[in-house]
Amino acid sequence: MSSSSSSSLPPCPKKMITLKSSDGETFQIEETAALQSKTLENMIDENCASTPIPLRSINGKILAKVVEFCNKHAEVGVDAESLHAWDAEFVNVEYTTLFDYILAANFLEIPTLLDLASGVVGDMIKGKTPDEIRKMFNINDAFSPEEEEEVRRANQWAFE
Amino acid sequence: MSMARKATDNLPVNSCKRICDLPDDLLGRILGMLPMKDAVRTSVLSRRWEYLWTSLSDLIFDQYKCCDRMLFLNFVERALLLHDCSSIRVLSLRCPIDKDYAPHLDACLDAAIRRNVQDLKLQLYSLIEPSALPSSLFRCEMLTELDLCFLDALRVPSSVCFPSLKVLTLELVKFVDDVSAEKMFSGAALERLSLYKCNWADLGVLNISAPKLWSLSVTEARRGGDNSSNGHCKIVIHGPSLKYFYCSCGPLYDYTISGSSIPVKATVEEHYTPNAWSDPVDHWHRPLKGLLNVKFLTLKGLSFQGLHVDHRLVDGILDPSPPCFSSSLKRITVGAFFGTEAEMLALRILLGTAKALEEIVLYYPGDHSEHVYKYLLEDLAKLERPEHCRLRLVLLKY
Repeated sequence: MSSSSSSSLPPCPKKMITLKSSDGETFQIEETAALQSKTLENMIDENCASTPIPLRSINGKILAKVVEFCNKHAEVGVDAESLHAWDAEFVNVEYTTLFDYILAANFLEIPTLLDLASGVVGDMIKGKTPDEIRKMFNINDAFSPEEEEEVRRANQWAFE
Repeated sequence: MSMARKATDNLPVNSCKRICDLPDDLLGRILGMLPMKDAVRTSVLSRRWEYLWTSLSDLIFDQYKCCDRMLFLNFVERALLLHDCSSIRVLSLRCPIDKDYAPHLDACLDAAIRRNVQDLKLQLYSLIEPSALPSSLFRCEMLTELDLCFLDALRVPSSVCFPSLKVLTLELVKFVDDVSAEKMFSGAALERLSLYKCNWADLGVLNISAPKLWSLSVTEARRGGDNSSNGHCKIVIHGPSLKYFYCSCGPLYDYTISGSSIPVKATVEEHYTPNAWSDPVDHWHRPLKGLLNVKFLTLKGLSFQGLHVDHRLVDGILDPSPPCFSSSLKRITVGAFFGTEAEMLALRILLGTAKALEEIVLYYPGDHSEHVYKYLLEDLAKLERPEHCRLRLVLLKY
């Protein structure tokens, strides 16, 4: 019970949800924070969230970060500027981790995280030459020079 | 953008080591974060990437800086023809058109409309002869936002159908008949309407009547050299839901707002020099006359310099005086007050006319030295004002 509150209503106990990663780690998350995930919201609506929810496609390391993201974005009274700075720090990771964020955000349907991580990968591509992009992301199945020239010609406008 | 689920639902997330481990729908989403040209340039990365860009839901084409017009037009057509079956959310097209290109434009718009385009931005500069927009544009059922900049007379076909259109912005459009204009402005779903330097001087009355319209913004075009051809078009706004009205007025039109049951917030901005006004009092007064149910009014740039030479004002009478001045005007804020002779005179007239005034606030951006400020305060204190009216002078710091 909150001692400072003079209201007659007892404070509502925070409803917690348990998530279980592919490697068996469990994470507690408040229901209000979990609602940012459409997938979890549907499970809560269908009363399937009473036991640990198994997330077989997300490992513990990534799930911990996703829970941290949801908690931060559910905080009350965070101004847009500091949240923006927090987000920038959150995605300041190796790009393989970004890909994991993208897959996890897509599976859990968390649009804010999906857009944030996709945007950072997009920024990495912006302004780079095809060779630089291939090298950065380890893309191997390149065209032959003749084929590449043909594709380039078909989409000439973009290469001006 | 809707979340992509199908291809990725059962994919293990533990194993993503390369960008190519991401499924196509997520790669497409990343491309959606890029400027159009960067997204299309990924087509040469590898066979897998060649057509990924064709699923982009936002297509932005700008011919600006593209020297070869045919190259540009061909690519726009290619993009719309190749587009996969998913919906197009945004199509933005900025280019000149002439009669050679008109059929291409028709084909492109048709393709976009077939894919349920929701947001259409067209900046079309007509090159040689007057051109018409394709009639398919005016039967766009899913369209929610239309932004049209068209340097020509707009001829609207008889069957206009915009059942979903919420936001309409028209720029530099010339209306030649009132039926065309009114059809555009009477959409059942229309919520926001902006008219930027459009020309309807040929019309006598322009009716804007939309049940859900809550925001209307009109920036008037500059009057041409020939004054006689520009009659004072009356703009009659019937907007039961209207909340905001912005008008940046030249000396062209009269406004009347009716049918709104909600207090309207209005801003009227004068954007021409006083010399352009043959009768300054009449001209700045005229757009305001019809704003009967306006509760909050902001006037910007109205020149007092134009007023102080007027004989009606030297007598200290604001004639004709707006009806609200004597009955309900409670607060006046002046954005930049320097304390010039003309401003003091105008202030004296305002205070003498606004009988119900409770507060007047003057923002003073001028000399901040103490003695100048003190003299100004003394001068202001000498002004006669309504009994319960407070006068505040606020220093404005830049």
